[in-house]
Amino acid sequence: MNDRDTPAELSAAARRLSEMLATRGIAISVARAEELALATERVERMATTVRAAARPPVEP
Amino acid sequence: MSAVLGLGEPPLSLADTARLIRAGVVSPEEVVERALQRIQDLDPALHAFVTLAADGARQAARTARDEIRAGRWRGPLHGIPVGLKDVIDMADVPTMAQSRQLAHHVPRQDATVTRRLKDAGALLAGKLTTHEFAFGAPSWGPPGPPARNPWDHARFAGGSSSGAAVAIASGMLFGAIGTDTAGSVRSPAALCGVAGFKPGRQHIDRCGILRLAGSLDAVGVLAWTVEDCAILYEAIAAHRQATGSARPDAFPMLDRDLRGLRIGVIRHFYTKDAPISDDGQTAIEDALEVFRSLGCRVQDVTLAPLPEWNATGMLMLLAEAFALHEPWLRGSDHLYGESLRDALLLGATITAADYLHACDHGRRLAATLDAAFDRVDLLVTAIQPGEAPALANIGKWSFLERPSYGIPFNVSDHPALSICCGMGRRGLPLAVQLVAARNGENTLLRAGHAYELAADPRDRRPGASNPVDAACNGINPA
Repeated sequence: MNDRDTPAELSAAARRLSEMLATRGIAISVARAEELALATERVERMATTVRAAARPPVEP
Repeated sequence: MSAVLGLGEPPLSLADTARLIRAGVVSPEEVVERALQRIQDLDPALHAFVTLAADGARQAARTARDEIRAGRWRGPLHGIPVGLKDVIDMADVPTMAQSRQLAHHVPRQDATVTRRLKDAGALLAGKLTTHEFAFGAPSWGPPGPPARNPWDHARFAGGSSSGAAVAIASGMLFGAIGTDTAGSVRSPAALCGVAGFKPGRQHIDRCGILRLAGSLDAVGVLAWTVEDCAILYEAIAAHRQATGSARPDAFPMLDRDLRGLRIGVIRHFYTKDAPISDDGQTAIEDALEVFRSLGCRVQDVTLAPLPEWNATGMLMLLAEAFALHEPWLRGSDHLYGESLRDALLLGATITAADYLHACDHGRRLAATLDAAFDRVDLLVTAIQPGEAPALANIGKWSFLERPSYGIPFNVSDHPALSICCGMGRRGLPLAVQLVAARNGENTLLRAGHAYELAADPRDRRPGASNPVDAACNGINPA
């Protein structure tokens, strides 16, 4: 997963992050949103790792 | 005043100093004045202290002197100067957590651990530098700069209990209480060459201590030796018989006989999953050889890969820390330093489902560790990638750049201990991490103590390269 390789992709990811934070009443600048969007890639990788380890409610 | 140790001789520990106080060779007043003088000399460059409580420590020293003279010795902490990481409350002294968010926060009550230290007769000398709210990168803004590694002032002191490790390594204090959510006691201990001990969470009451991530937060102790850690732990532990002592007012009885102890080495953590430096690996191998020479049996143990442990713990930490701080992030985020503010915002991107997956997976990982302890009594692995890196190279996303060797044992809540096991190529400390089964705190402490008696690689305090510094190393009964 790496959807922030191009300036346009990074800009879009930053906009999504900024909008999500705004719904919680947290305002951030465009520059900060882009930096955070890059850092969130690593968090998303961690989430992917943990999701892959998730078990169904009942194991056959 | 007693004579002082000569250049190159080992420094006195908390335990040795306590024995001198007990014997009436030195007084608590002499000990506290020496500590305060050393703080005055060294702290302007090291920045270990946020708030110095000199008057209170002097008053407590006078009280301790009178009590000891009257035959009322309370135990090995009586008359000993110690400090608190600045996330731990001490009545009428600011708790600022290195943040402008708490610039005017003065608690009216002691934390439970503070009260227990006072009850044991310890002299509370002040509050110690941390990373802002005990997380993220070193904090450069107000209320103070980051602590400096006393072995090399340009190097990172570790985090987040950085001031505690620096104050002990440099001989300003004999012991300190820190907090450990992802290795925050063990990592600074490792980089500064002191012992750092994180017991299981249930053993130390966290009342009066700022939270970071409640599922992972633990209270720990730092001191020059493992025996000193045992003394501190004995004083603050909830059950007060943590180290096998018959009485909490006695010196801990740390059995040195390790014959037959089964040691498992989680080698893949530091050779394959996230390799540490060559000299770090050599130092761990040398430590294992010492344990073999003490009669231990050593075998490799395989767990889930370190990045899987790290991902699990980091998702829990980020989500919980964001939830805790969200009200301030909405209303007063300008009062955070940049590093913490941005680190906290990462937690907003974690979904509820992913947080719950992390919690569930953490329980499964902990169960695998419990199962490993069916085959071994102690685990050994790395705690740091090598010697302390340059402070200037620690960026705000450093905590994301490589997995933490400490966080697995916050996820699992097993007791863990960092001890110095050598000096690296740059002359800076290297460390090894020991981990015990649940409620195995005593096993952990006696293993660390036996190792230090057999092979402590430290023969001086950092900076003890001239007679003036060496003179501050300790107090000699001769």
